[in-house]
Amino acid sequence: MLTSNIIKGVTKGFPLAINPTKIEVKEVDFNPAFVVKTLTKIDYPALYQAANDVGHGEGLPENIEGDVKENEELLKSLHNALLQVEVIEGELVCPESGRKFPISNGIPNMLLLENEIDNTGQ
Amino acid sequence: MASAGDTSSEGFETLCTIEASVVTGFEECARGEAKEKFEADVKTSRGKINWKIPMSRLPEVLKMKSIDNCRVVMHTVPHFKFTDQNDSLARIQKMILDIDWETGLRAWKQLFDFPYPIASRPDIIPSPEDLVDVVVMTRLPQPKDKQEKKKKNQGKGKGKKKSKDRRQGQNQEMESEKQVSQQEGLNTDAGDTVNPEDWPDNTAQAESVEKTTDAAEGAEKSMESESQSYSGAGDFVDMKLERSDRDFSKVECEEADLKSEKDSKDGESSKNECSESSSDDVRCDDSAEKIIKSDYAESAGSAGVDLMSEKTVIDNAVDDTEKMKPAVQALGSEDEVSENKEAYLEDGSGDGAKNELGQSMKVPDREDAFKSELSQSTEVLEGEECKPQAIAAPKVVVVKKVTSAEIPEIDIKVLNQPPTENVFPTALESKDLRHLEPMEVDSPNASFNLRSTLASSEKGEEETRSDTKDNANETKSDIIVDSAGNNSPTSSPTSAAAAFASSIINRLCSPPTSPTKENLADTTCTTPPSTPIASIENPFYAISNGHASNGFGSSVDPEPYNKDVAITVPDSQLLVLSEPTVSSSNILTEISALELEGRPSQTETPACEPCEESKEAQVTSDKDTNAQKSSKPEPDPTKPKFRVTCNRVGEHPFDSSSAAASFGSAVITYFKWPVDLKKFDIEVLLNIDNEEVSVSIALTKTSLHNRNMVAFGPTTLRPTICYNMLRLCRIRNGDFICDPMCGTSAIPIESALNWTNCFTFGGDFHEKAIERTAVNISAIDIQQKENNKSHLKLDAVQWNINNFPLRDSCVDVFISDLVRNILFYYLISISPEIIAIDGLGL
Repeated sequence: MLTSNIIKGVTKGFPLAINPTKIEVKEVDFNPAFVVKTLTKIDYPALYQAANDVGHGEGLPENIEGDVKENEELLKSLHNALLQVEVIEGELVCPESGRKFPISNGIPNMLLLENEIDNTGQ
Repeated sequence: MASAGDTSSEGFETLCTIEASVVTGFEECARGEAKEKFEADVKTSRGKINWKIPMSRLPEVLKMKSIDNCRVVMHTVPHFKFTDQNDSLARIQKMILDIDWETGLRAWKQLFDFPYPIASRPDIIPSPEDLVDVVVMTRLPQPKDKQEKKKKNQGKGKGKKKSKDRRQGQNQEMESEKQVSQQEGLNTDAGDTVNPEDWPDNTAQAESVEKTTDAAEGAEKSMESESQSYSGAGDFVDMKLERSDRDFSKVECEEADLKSEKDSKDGESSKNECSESSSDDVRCDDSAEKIIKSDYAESAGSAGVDLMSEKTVIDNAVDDTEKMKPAVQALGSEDEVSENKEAYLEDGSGDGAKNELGQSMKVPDREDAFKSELSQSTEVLEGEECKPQAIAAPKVVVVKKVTSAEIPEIDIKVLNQPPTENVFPTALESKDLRHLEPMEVDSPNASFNLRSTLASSEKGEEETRSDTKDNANETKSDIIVDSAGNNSPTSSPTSAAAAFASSIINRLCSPPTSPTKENLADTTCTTPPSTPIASIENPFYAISNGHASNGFGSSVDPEPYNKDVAITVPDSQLLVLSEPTVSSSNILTEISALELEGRPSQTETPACEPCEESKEAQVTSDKDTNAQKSSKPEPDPTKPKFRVTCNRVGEHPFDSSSAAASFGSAVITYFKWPVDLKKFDIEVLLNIDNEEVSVSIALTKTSLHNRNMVAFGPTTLRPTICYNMLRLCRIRNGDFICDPMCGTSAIPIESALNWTNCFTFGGDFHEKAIERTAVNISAIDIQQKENNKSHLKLDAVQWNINNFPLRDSCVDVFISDLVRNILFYYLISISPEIIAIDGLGL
């Protein structure tokens, strides 16, 4: 969900590409209802791309179709990608400007430099 | 989940009333949580919620997230009509009989382990009269001191050094005078005319005097002689006395301060007082100084340099003495003495230099008289050591009470007790204050009283130091015998303490008929130093092996003090109710003991000074035998240690510390549990909310809100508050929750922990906040792993909300602690250095 549309000159800034250098897969309780609901919020292609970036994209189809609720396996993979895979070290890359946002300790740093701020819009 | 009261054989189906404290404003949230969990009817009032649950579900209460502390309520009086201080406190004490200890203790046992069974009622239920043993912790205002000081300075104006000497001298003088008066058997009636207000000063003075007295018993004598010589001769002797006295007085002052502070304040301040007292400007010093100075200092110090000052001092001393006398006699309490002294001082200072020699000549005579008075008052004062000034006050109270019809019931105890290791006032809170007031340290009387008390009511009033006049030794001895009988070595320390307390009470109660005389005489001689010691150090001293019966106080009979005159005796005899206090208390005790004993010893052994030292040592050793001097005597391990905490909202005729102390004494009388303010097993809460009084047992030793967070920042919210805020958000499953300014991420963590069907993320701008967030999250993760719980659905980002890198419409709930954040950022803006501060700062 993170975007880089805050950068000057970037219009969409989404999705950010992920360049992971370190990943962890954590164990999270599987909650299908949650996964389903989440799907409605997220931009699936972005998720797909992100999952692939980190190397856990297997199991995820290019498109989600139909009723996902019944597809437990799919849900599980989604769950995995959404919640369990965590990038500890790496960077997020803006698709438009190429600006890299570092990730350290699992926390991406989205702070901008002075000259990057888009002051016109808001 | 339906509570279903289980009908287990343990009776867990019993309902108990739980009251939990909630952050003000979130009572509804907490009520919501309680309702969800327990399906009970929950009542709310400001800052707390109240509902009934079956006892089996108690552990669940502790898992609640919206409450901070919880307790099981045993008794509530919705409309407790508060009358006057004494009556109200007495009624509170009697309330102990109505309390449902059974349920409370059972609930407590469910959550806490205690190796022994705890009886929910004693074998012998004390009668209501037995229970009443009102303890009043008073704090004397000391306006007069300042005046005195000023006066002193005015009058003297001499070299500071001199003033010091003088002060010392005065103190010594006062003490010696006191002793003398004591010895003479002046009897200060309780409650006579002395005006409590005046006393504070006097008390201080008296205290100082007392203190010095003890310390310098021998010195006093010499002082007396010196004062006489003073009139004529110049004096090195005086000087010497002064010096020695000074040391003592200083020590005593400190001690007294400690004690008094304890009594008067709830702890903390005493230290200051002590330091104050030790410093020249302490009130007692002032008063003492004046007096003493007048007597000695002048001559000694200035060797004629400052005749004027000396004279003034003398005048003062003389005047004071004179004044003191009547006062002392009337009250025999410190208050009187202090009052007198004060008056005296004031006069003295006002006098300025008077005719020197003539006056000085007079001084000795007066001094003698004064001394005798002082000794009387000293006794009283000693008891009150704790507060140089405060002591007076308590005595006053006592006195008055005694004169009223309730004498037997009221027992003003000197706070001496430093059940906790130290005499320093910090211990005063609840327990300390509860017990005796410093004043009570009247050695001979105290011990006697204790004994009788023990015998009679088995109250654990510990500190019944000997303060006020001693009761007839005979009385004491009788009592002691009783106590001895009652307290078998096996009896718990509480009984000893109780006995002690009772004895003191008795002492106080029984008007000084013979006691005064006897006491004085005896006291001075034999006064069971133990009393003061016991009180100081441990309010509750277990009376070891049945010494109790005599030793304590038989003023008449010095035998009890086998080990060390008086000092030793008391130790063994006192039952240790509470964990012995630390050495500081010992010191106080000793000092008080010394004082008390000093007096007696004076009569018997002129060389008091050395006695003091030895006494102290002995006391210590004695105490050691009893297991305490600095270490607490072994409390009965089968009895849980307890403390009483009083929370009071509204106007009442008493203060929290008095209420806590009084109630604590009732508990001791009832259960004979040992007292320990710090390492307690059971915490009894006495909550007084305007007209409502309720008694409960705490179920949380530390607040429940200390959870989940490891690294804190300047704006970290209490997790309890976070939880309550989140509840207000009506979060649904699957929501995305965001805290854009999470700081140390207290809110996101609470959210992720409790709403596991939602995804939370938080972010902050500041580097350090992010660091702390990372620490907290990893700590939680570890915790989760340990509990085999899954990782949190929680993420953090470092962002700047001015440039918020989030897609539109992806967050359902925004929640944040704006005020603190604003404050924080404001701080940063005004002073970037703040950020650099580590620790609490970011």
